[in-house]
Amino acid sequence: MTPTHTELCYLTMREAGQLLKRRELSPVELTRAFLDRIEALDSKLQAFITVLPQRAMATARTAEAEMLRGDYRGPLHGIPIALKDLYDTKGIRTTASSRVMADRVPSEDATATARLEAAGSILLGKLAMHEFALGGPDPTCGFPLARNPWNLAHIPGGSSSGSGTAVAAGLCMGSLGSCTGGSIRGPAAYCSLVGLKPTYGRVSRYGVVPLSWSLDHCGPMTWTVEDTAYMLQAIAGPDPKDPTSSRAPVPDYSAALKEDIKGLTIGVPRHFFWADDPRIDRETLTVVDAALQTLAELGAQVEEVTIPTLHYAGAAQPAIMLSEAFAYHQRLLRSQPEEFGDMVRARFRIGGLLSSADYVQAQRVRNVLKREFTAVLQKVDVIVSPTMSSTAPIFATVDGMTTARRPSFTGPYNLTGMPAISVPCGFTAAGLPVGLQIAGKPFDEPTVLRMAYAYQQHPGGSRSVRRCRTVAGSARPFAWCYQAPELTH
Amino acid sequence: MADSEGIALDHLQVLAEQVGLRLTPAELEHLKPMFDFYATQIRVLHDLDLAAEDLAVVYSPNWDIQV
Repeated sequence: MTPTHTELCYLTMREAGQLLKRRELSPVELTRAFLDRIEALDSKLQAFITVLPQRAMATARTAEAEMLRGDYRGPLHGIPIALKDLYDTKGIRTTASSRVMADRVPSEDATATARLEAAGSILLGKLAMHEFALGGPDPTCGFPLARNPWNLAHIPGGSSSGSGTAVAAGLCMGSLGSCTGGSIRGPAAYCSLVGLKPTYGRVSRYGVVPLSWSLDHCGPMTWTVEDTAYMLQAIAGPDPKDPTSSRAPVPDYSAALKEDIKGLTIGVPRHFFWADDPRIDRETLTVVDAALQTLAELGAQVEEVTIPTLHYAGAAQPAIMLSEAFAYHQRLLRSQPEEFGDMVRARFRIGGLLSSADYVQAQRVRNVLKREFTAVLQKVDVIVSPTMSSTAPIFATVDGMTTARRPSFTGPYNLTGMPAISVPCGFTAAGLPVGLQIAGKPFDEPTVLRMAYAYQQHPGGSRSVRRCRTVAGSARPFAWCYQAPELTH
Repeated sequence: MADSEGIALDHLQVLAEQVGLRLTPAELEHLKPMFDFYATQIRVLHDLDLAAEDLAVVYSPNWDIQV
């Protein structure tokens, strides 16, 4: 049966791709459905900084023509996506949600942008984010503050806030976020999405506005693990324009999903992620414990592991990130400080006040942490934990230091560079999503994806997607409508 | 750098001026609690005995994929 105009926006990339490939759906019709949905809902969700209706429709018509003559490029061909507004897009304003770059129009695409275009995807627009990928939702930055589709009073997480909002609300089928301390996995967890931070070096950072060169990663955000594998496939691989990109071979990520997880070993560092710390939400831990039980039922072996230096990651990560961020922004911080929003300006300034001794010591701690993780990963295949220490906070309770004050469960993997994914694993009693974090060996995205996919295929793991569709099927077009009925459309 | 009451404002001003930031007294006041937060947090890194832990290897873009 052909999906209705609205139902098109609930399809996964795989489902839409099959319809497109069989010519049962036109990319023009699909793109029109998403543009209509953005038009109807984004004034409340605030996910987009720039919408590109004419460009998107032109690309869709080109894709349609290609498909009609049998020139099918692959699973992203004709798929509507959107990008965090720090990926350079040739001829399209790229702001990083900052007045500093308000009028900046790149003359070249970021490598990831170009690769997604080459794969045939359709760019719907550029998405809101925390200014320069740091801090929180700052009303002084001069750009939209995206809302969490599951409950509009809550933040969608960040810094890839608009990416989380847009994918979760069905305003695009996938997005690229960027991640320096958790900016892909955080919004994925808060919005019930899949978000992958690949291994450092796996995806080119060329043409992506930096926050902290040695911690920045680029990666996909989608509804399903399968769709994340498609996007990673398109963007992974060496890039001569990015000296940190790796020449490691790029495997077939979708093929890895076909294997089960029987016999794989999961390490759980309870001493850190389940610590007796009032800042860690017990209900979140309960949801994640249930997910671990599910993985055990699927045949994985679960064992506790210890990574002593994890307790220092929360100090090392900001010392490196803020120091590098200051180095990048210092000229404008001196000459045009008023152009920055209040939150980011203050934190960037802090980066200038830290000492070289702080930075060097943080990097050395980072190296110890990498070695400890390496030792543990010789005994286990993946490391599993909650993605976030709590669910999405309410806007009114968030200031520029909210994330800094909470224990970071994602930052350690930016320090080590290991691949880490967040996959939806349930909801709290308040109806807020919880994410399960799975981290693996360097360049072993296949095992990370395989574990996440196995979990998402299980009835327990797939309930987030099913919940969206159940609500949709009962004439309330998306999950958040039950939380925010005034937004039904 | 930061004692129990945190960094003194005049010290904070010196640090800011060293990197070319000219901050007003109000801006320094605003920045102080944030600086104290991070300084306290980061100080624990210096308590660790890292012996001759090598800094340079952190910057290698390619991993040993035989981990």
